[in-house]
Amino acid sequence: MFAVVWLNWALRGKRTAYRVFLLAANLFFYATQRTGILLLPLAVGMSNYVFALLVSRAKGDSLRRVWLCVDIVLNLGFLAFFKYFEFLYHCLDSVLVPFGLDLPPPFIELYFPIGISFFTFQGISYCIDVYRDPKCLVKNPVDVLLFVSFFPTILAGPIMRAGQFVPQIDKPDYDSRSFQDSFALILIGLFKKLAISSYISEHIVRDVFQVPAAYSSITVLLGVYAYAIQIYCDFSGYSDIATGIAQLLGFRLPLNFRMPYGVSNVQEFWRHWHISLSTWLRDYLFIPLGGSRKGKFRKYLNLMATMVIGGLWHGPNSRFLLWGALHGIALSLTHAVNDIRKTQSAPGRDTKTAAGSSSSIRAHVLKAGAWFFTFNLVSFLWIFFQAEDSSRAMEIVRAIFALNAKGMGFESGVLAAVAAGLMIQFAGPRALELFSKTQQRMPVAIQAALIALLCILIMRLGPSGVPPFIYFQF
Amino acid sequence: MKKNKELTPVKAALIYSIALVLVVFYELPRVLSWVEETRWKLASCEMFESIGPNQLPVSKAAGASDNTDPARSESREAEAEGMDAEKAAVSGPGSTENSPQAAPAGPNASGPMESPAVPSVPQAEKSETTAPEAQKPKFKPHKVLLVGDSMIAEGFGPALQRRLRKQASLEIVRKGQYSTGLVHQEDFNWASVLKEFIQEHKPDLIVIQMGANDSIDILDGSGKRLYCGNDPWRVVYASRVRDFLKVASEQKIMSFWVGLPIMGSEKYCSKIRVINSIVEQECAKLSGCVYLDSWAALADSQGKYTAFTKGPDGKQTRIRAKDNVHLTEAGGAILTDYFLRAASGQVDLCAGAETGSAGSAQ
Repeated sequence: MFAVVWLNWALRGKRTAYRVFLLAANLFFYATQRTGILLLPLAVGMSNYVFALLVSRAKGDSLRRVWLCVDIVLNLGFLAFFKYFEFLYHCLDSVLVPFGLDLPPPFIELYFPIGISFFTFQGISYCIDVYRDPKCLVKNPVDVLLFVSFFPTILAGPIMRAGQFVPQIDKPDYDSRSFQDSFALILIGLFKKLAISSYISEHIVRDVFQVPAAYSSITVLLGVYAYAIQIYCDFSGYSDIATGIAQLLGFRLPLNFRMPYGVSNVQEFWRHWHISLSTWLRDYLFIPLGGSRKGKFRKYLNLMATMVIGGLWHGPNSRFLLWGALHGIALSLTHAVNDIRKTQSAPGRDTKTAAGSSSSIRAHVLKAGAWFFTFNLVSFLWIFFQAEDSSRAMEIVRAIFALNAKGMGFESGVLAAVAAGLMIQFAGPRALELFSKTQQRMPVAIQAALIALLCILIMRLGPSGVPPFIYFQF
Repeated sequence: MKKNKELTPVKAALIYSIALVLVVFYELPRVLSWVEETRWKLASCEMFESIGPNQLPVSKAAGASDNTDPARSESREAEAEGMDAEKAAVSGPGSTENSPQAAPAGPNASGPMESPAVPSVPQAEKSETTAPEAQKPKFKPHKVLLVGDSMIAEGFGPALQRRLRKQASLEIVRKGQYSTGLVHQEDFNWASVLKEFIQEHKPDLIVIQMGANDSIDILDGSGKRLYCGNDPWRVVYASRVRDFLKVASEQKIMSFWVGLPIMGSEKYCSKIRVINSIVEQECAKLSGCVYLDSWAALADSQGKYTAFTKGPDGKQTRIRAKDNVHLTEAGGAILTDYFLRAASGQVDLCAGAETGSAGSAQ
């Protein structure tokens, strides 16, 4: 790591050498997953470079559109081949069965290239950006390859935009504060992953989602809340580590999570959860579908379509479809309520003018109620995301409402981990600032010792077998 | 003054590196085991490749293993040719030369030949008593403990738990621990953990499936590397299996060790066969320990590895995870059927009467 950070800064500013180094580092990192699959991000990067170039140089809007469509089809083709091949094969099998035709099992077991959903989406966004504004064209193909294969983000995001990333490649300066923050981010990410996500997974979530009927209703309910915390800590933990490593190399990444369980409606939730994907879906799917420009009904329909596709982005599985559709309904309803409120409130009427002490209490109670409802709704919908299939999801729901006190219980440590996971989203930014300020005052050796001590403590808090990051499978 | 406090890239890299060295130094055993696992994963990268036709019916594949007498292997091949492919596939690692079950004359050895659905139940020493015991009322457990690595944490473990808990009289406790086994004991020593589980839960039957993480070299106390599958490795691994099984045996708790099923990579398969055969031998030495061979439970009708099976509705169902090692829930249900049928001769789990809906890989 010393060598990578040192070389990164030694070569920064040297245009060609730095690009060669960073590309080599990216490819080396991805090759550790599997050597043969190395060609995939290169192919995605190069195809997007070529088609973006064709889009920018094409004369006439129809030709530009053709090149853009080819690019999108190609990227989605990569994604479909590696991610949806088995599903499509089984669809074909199901179609042929009634005709007495029997397909053999899939002849190849395709290796799933980790991160394919993330870097293909980055590629698509680049080409669409160039289509919308030819000034976004990146002239150097290596820069596009660096953008697609940047190693801190290639496995599970955050999903970047070329316009954010590429200008940073030639930025020669470093930011001392950014280095301090990067240590804190990596430590917070490790804490979220090892001490909370892995612990919760091992001690309650996995068992409850596998055999819900064996547990008491309160344990199953806690298991559902625990999964909400697990997936937050797992994914935001990865994003923190990726952001920390990128900052050590001098790159700023977009924020991916901003206190998602502190919001008071589903619309807000999607503005705070996996922000890089939800903004991607907004910019490259919801808006092209017409967004909210074509009437209210069309807006709700677009929201539904966006959420369903967002659900299926996770994989060709009915559970993701159902989860996306349910979020789509919740989101459409939230928009509908907001639209009704807007039409009911008379123009120029200030609702805050009547604010007295009693209405302030009422507002707080209402806000707390809205938060409670939203957190429970989002947690409830995670059941459909995580359960093996819809019948298992219903089994979990039944186990909660059976009000069964007899089944197996839970360890007290789980409650503490769930509470810690819920609180860390609020306390995390403050802890980061405090850690950075404290570190700044210390000599190098003490800083290193403190980081090592915290690392060891975190490793001790986690279970011996750490499951992989949840979003690596998407 | 301000300049001194500024964190330059070199200082940042230095801090990071010192911290890393300190962590590695303090957590050396953990880091070494992680390095070993990574090395193993990289070495057996073929595990993730397309499914090849390399998984021979086991009796033949055993003949191809590194320490097999070619003459004996030839005779085994000739025997295998004499029976149909299914029968050959079900004989499992029990037919390797190291196996106490190698002699086809044993009652258990003949079992699978008659009924491909029932795996062999090898008990060399105990085989003499099998027939009279069959007359006695079968042991009826009340509390079953399922222990093992990720094979118990997912796939087989939850499927068996779901099936067994349909019997109101049975209490099931499942303890599956990812990334554990009998090779790396620095972090997680299964023998002492099992002792604690027994004290805490007081089971009267234990079902074990383990070993998927054990196809790696052992570093002995002096730091000497014992290469996986070599004789010194086998001796140490066998002693660890024995120590683990003794925990249950000494407390007179019956245990079933369900051997690992066929895997998707030939290289990994050959190591898993070694592990299965060691476990089989150790089970045979201890009273109350029964080894159930499940090698062929998830193989296709040719005895080869398959990741899919046709369900009763004619649809393809995935039974193995994409890593070609773990089982999906459907695969777990098939192995559960297999286990319940095989164990039904020894214990009364009732649940054996119900067959799963997942069908069979064959």
